[in-house]
Amino acid sequence: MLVIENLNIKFGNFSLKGINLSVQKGEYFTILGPTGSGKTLLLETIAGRYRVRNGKIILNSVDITNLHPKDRKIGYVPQDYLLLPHLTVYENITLGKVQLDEEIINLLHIKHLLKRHPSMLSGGEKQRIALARALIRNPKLLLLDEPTSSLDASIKRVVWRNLDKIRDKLLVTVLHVTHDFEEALFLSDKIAIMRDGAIEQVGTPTEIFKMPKSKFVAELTGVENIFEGIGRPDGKGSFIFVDQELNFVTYERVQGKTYLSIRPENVIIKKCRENKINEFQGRIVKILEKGFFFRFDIDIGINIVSLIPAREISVLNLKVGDKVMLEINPEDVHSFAYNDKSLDWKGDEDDEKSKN
Amino acid sequence: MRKIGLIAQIFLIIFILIVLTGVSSLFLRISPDILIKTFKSKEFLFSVKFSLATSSISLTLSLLFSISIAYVLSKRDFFGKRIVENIIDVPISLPPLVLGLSFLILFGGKFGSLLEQAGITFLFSPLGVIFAQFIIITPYVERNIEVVFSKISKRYEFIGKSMGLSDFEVFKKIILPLAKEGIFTGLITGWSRAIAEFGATLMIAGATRMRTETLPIAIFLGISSGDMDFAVSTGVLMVIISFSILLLVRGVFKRNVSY
Repeated sequence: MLVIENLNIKFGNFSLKGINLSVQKGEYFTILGPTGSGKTLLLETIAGRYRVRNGKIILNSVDITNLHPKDRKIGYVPQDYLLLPHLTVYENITLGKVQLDEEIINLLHIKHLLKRHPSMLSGGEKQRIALARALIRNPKLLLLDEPTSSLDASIKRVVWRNLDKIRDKLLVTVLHVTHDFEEALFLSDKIAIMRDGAIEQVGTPTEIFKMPKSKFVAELTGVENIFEGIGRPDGKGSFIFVDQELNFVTYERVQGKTYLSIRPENVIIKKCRENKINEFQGRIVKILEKGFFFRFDIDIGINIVSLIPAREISVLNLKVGDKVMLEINPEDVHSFAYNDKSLDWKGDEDDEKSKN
Repeated sequence: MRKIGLIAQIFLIIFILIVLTGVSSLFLRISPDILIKTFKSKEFLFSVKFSLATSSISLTLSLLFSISIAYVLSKRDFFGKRIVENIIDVPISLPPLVLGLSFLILFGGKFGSLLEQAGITFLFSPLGVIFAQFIIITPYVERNIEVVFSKISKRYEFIGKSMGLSDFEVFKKIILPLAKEGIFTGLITGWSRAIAEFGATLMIAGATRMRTETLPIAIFLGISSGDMDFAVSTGVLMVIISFSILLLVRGVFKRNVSY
């Protein structure tokens, strides 16, 4: 379907470096990365905004690398929607001389908005119009640039469900960029993690969620428990020593200096010791209520974070200062190569530049 | 700070008084009877019609050039762009008389002879009036349009292309409609300059009664021949035109928006 081969493009001081991606027909593919990683630049390059001198973009076996945007058969929804202010919704949607498609209009519930101008629309309505405009030309590929970034949290979930519905009903292939891991997890068949203009990891949501390849990916996907350690293979798995007193058992083979990560939802809190693998005694330092979850900071020699569903809290009856036992399944102790780089949330000047 | 404000207000009042006394002296100099008599005269009617015709043609030509030049300067970066911009501004920075003189020399020489052989005569002809107006007003019209073109995000053009529009369709359906207020302001500014153009017109087309007689030339000829009534009546009409244009431009600017 969409194949990107060794795509390199320079934009000011920023560049996309050797991007290789393959998106299958009908797939919902998400590119996840922090602001400044080059997601918008990549999307706009695929849509045809920039001339490519190095690399190839192939859509349905046709080389579209430097084809005029109008000939690419790609629908594009920019982050700021870019509805033309001098045209009505109807004129915006049909600008490229196309007929209104009742199915799309009904699917997105925008029939009552057709005579309005963009200045009379809410953020959510603008977003639906931009989607309709991109879909009405029956694109082979739909590009979505942070479609929910400017929407309220409550509307975001509605949009996610709408996007899911659109994919199912219209059978369109989607390439979606976002910095929101939850969004990527909800919608995607596959996720690519992007960092500093390069792809860091590609995998299914489960693979990315459970087996981040780097500290950067782990942090981006919400892992708070990342520690440096020394791995020593033993039997089928390994020990990872965080310090002399503290070591974690994992089923992965690890040798030498490493990072280990444990998702906070995999850190189980219990009251009594059961003599299981990876059991640690600790003391609760902090408790924070986070909606459906409670977040615990527990001192076991190092600070480790645990997320416990709210309904389980009353059973344990926990408070700050309590001594507790922690248990972590060796399957949930994941290691990745040691490097000093971590997630850098510096502002994305280049993404901003590309929007002008 | 209060003292500075007071001094500034005094300067403001003095300047307003200077403008108003100058302009009102025109209206006080003439009686309604003479005004009506002049407005009915053949020569006056010719100069009004001639001014309207020449300014309309020069404005149309200028618009064609200005939109193209503004598009290139606002959307493209190229080597020597600053030099090109400075050259376009020459008619603004040079006194119109000097600019007119330079074209008088050009059209009076070999190049002019070549043009005359091809049937094109600029010197002392209505065509010269149109040319003089065109060269003077184009930088003003272009500047107004360039400002509004450069305010339109390039991403609108890109989204138009991604929706299946060709480059020309993007220009016609997106850029021009979004720039319409800037273009309108440019047209009004250009037209008011064309109607009032004198120096370059005098040098290139001369001041021939009932041939190259625009409104400003009519005032010049009236004063030269001692016909003050005719000159003042024409001046009154030009004041009315100028005020109307000023109000129109202000109205447009109030509604001006950037995208």
